[in-house]
Amino acid sequence: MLELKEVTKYYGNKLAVERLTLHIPDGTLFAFIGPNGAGKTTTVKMLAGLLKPSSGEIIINGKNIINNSLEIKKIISYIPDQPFLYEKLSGKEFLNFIGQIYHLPEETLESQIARYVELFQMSEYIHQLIESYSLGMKQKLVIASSLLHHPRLLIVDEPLVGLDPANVRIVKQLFRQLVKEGITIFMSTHILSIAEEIADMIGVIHQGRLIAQGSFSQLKSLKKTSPSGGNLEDVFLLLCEECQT
Amino acid sequence: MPDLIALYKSKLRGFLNQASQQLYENKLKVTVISISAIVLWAVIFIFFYRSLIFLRTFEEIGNIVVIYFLGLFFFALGIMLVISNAIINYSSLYRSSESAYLFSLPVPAGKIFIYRITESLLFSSWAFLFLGSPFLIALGIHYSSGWTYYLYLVLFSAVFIILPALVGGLISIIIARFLPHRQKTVLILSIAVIFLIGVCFVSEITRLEGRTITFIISGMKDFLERLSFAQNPILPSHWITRGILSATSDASESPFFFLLLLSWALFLGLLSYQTASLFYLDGYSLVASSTRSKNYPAVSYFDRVSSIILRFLSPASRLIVIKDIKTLFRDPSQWSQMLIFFGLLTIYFINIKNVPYINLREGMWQYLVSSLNLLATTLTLATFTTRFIYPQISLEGRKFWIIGMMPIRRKEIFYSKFIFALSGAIIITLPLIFISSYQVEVPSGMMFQQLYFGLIICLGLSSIAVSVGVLYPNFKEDNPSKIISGFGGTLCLVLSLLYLLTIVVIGSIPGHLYYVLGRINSNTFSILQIISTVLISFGAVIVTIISIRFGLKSIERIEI
Ligand SMILES: Nc1ncnc2c1ncn2[C@@H]1O[C@H](COP(=O)(O)OP(=O)(O)OP(=O)(O)O)[C@@H](O)[C@H]1O
Ligand SMILES: [Mg+2]
Repeated sequence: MLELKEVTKYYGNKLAVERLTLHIPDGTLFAFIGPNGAGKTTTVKMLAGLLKPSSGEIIINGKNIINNSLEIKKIISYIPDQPFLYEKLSGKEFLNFIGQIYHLPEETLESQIARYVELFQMSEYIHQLIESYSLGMKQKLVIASSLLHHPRLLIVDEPLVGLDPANVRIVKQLFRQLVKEGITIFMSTHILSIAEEIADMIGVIHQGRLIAQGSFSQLKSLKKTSPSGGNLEDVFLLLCEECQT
Repeated sequence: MPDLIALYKSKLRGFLNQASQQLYENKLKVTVISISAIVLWAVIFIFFYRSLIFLRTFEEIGNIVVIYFLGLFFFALGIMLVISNAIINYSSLYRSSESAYLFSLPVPAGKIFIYRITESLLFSSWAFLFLGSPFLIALGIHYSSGWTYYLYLVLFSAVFIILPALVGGLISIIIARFLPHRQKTVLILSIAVIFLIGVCFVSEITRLEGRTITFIISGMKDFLERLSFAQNPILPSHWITRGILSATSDASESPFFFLLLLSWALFLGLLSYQTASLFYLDGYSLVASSTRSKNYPAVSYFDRVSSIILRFLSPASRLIVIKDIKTLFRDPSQWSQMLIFFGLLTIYFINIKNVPYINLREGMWQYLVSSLNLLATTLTLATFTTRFIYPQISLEGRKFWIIGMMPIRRKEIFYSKFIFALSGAIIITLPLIFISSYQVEVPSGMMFQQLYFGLIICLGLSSIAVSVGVLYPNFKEDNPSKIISGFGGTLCLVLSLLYLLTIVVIGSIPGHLYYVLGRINSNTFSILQIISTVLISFGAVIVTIISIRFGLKSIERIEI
């Protein structure tokens, strides 16, 4: 589904992502973890087509993202770390807008909206202006809006910011459910316990370079020295420490 | 097409939601602004209408002056709209989160471009609609034109404001795609170019001022010829001038010029759409990745100097003022406009002396010219306090809590903004008024009076801008050009203009009676002057105190 070949990105003269190569098959939940400033958001923006790689290729669904950006945007969804919403629209109006942009037929749109309003329990405030929503309410609306058109690939930067435990669980279950339906999810996150729990594959990025990749158990076996035998956090910190020296 | 419709529909929906919210929550606010706007519109309308009647007394020449004024008006307007559209477009196309968001949707870049420039077109041309409509309507009434005139007026204006938006958009697309690293150079170059155009313009006009005022018939031809660069037939401003003028009578030429204008709008529309389809996304990526990580020293030379100058402030207010100055200066697209306008005024004032004036030694001309200069300077100042001071509080934006949480009283925040505004206004205005008075060689009494008027205008305008900024902040928007186009910005501009005009009018009544009309003797003149100065001072103090009061009260109430 998603392939990165030697992707490199410079900001001016600053190297942000260095020769990143990844292969993520269909129906995989990929968690991208790394310290602050490691290059996660930069990678995610390149996948979404907002930034062009300085060199290297990004291939989604067998097509190069540079030449087919419009076609690819129809089958992906991108949720940035600071999502944008039209604050003066109501939640329902916003979802309708998205539906029109993706040319969804009326009935599909209505049933999709009903499904997510129900799932995230948004019915109470869906007709109010978005500006009156709390952080978590907005985040739920954003996630709902990104799934209306049944994307094949979902690219998310920090999806769980601001959600309460109940909604974190809903999103976790939703993501697993989506993956089961064959959707691929590329998710950058700082919440390691969640990556450990739901990800099929984990990539660790540090100062722009991919330093480890694989399922959680593969990562654990990589770092057998891990003293507490432990969790992803131990592995992650060890990996980063090693890179520093 | 359905994409664009969906986009416009959602924007319209948002606008309607906001409007009904405002109407519901702030009836008083809406009433106040509507009434002030209507009053201001009427004042401008009456001013133009009277001027047209006045010009009629000069018969043929009066007519010609109207024609040329119309030409100049559209010419200047076109240039201003290109500049403001280019600036607004650059930030709304490349720096706004909405554009980033739209790029993640399956909408072609060309359509995003069209949608975004429509928005900045509306933002940048409301001033034209507000200031231009009274003049153009007065013109229609003056020539007692039929309904076709007003129909053509709407058609021509609509197409005419689209052209600069397209040109501005095209310029920003090309700069972003091909010169993303050279924004500063481009900016400096364009300032230089605009400056040069302005200098030519100003020097043409100053060389003629004596003649326009005295209406020497033989000089008229020369005068018109010099202004004829604005009448160059290849300029769209010429087409709209001809079209509208023709519409005042039989409209025989109007369809031709309208179609000419329209065909250019369509051509440029197609061209910029295609250019945007090709380059917009690339340019977006280039601009987003071209920020260089530059280190700024923790305490700079600038900090030290300014904290010495600002000694008289409390340490906390001093820090806020220094922060504001730095923020302003690190965004050249903001202050460059100020530089252009005040720079041109300076050149114009310095040049006044070189005008082959016959009459400048006469009291009447000295008085008239220096009063007009005062008016020009303070009018410019009013637009700039609205442009730069009013958004100050809003720009703190969602980060207002940072200041709000600091261990300083909000009162101090207010005063530091006020001091920032006032000192900026004084530093710009008083030297300009001084140069003008000095060049016109007015007697020192008159010079002091002018400086005094300038000072109290600065005082009032700064307090109005800061207070309206506190009263009606807009924390949602981070683009100052858009903040000022909202309700608060309009209110601020309207109040500032009303204040300024009141002061200038009351202040010039004695001079008008004495110098221009010669109705009173010098004794009565002195007495009247004292009275008007006292009145003005009183009014200015009251306006300043009231707005500061309002500001102080509402800054305590701001909630984030
Ligand atoms: N617009 C920009 N201009 C210059 N450098 C940038 C820009 N955006 C990001 N960077 C640099 O690129 C590197 C990677 O940034 P990125 O935002 O991808 O990090 P991240 O992994 O998402 O971090 P976080 O966990 O804090 O979100 C950082 O060193 C950052 O300083
Ligand atoms: Mg990030």
